[in-house]
Amino acid sequence: MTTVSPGQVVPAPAWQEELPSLERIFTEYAPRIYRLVRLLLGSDADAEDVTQQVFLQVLRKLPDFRGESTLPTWLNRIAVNTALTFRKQRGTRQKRLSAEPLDEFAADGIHAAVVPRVPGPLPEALAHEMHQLIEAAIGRLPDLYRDVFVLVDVEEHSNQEVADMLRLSVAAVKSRLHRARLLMRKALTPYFEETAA
Amino acid sequence: MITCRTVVARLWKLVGEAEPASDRRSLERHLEACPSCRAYLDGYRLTIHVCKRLHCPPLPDRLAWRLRELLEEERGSKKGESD
Repeated sequence: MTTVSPGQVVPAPAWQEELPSLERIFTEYAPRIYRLVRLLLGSDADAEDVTQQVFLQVLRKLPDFRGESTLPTWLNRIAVNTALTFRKQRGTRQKRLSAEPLDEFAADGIHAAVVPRVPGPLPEALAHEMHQLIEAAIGRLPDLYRDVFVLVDVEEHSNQEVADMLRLSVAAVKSRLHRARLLMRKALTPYFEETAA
Repeated sequence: MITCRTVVARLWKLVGEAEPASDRRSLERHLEACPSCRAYLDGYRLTIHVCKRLHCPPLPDRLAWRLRELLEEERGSKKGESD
């Protein structure tokens, strides 16, 4: 254990020195937090309120940030907790996609219909319509799958990070993620086909 | 030989975080012989790819203003503490 003599200036830990200013945290991360919350809640108005709540918590908790995770992960954890608490309190359900994505097979386990080929790489800048379709399809995922999908496939957290955030096992994250991806593939395939045509 | 349904149920083993090669072998054998499952996998991968490129919309003006106000309040209270 290091002893500190009276009057000695203790240098701030490296993670604290690297912490961006509050102003930068707000300007750099607010749009990402807003997107995350909006996707989790599926409502612009709710996302605005919850994003504000998130930043209130950030102000309160930032002095306790110890750099045990990266700043974006720490911020996203606060955002996820706040959004999920909000959703639980709101308790409403919107129309969701079918929760059974493996229903496209004949009794013998073969594809029931021809699986259309998808186009090669799409243009780097996705069409506005594509963004809208993705957001709408995410909004129709069952909550159970949507949270995991947004955190892994949009926010690009690892399965382990998401398991920690949502207090799930990694196996549960993988299973929910796969089901969400199957539902998303089903929802986006018509657009892919159109793009290929 | 595993069925298409089984392959689709296990597609996650072929994307993302590394899974043991032994888990993937039977899937890859099926895919070599099944154009439908190959097309399905392409669609699955493309779905993941496009979702990772989802844009970050700009903050609505009202929210940007509310956050700015929050930041100003925080600055004010910090200043008050130090005075």
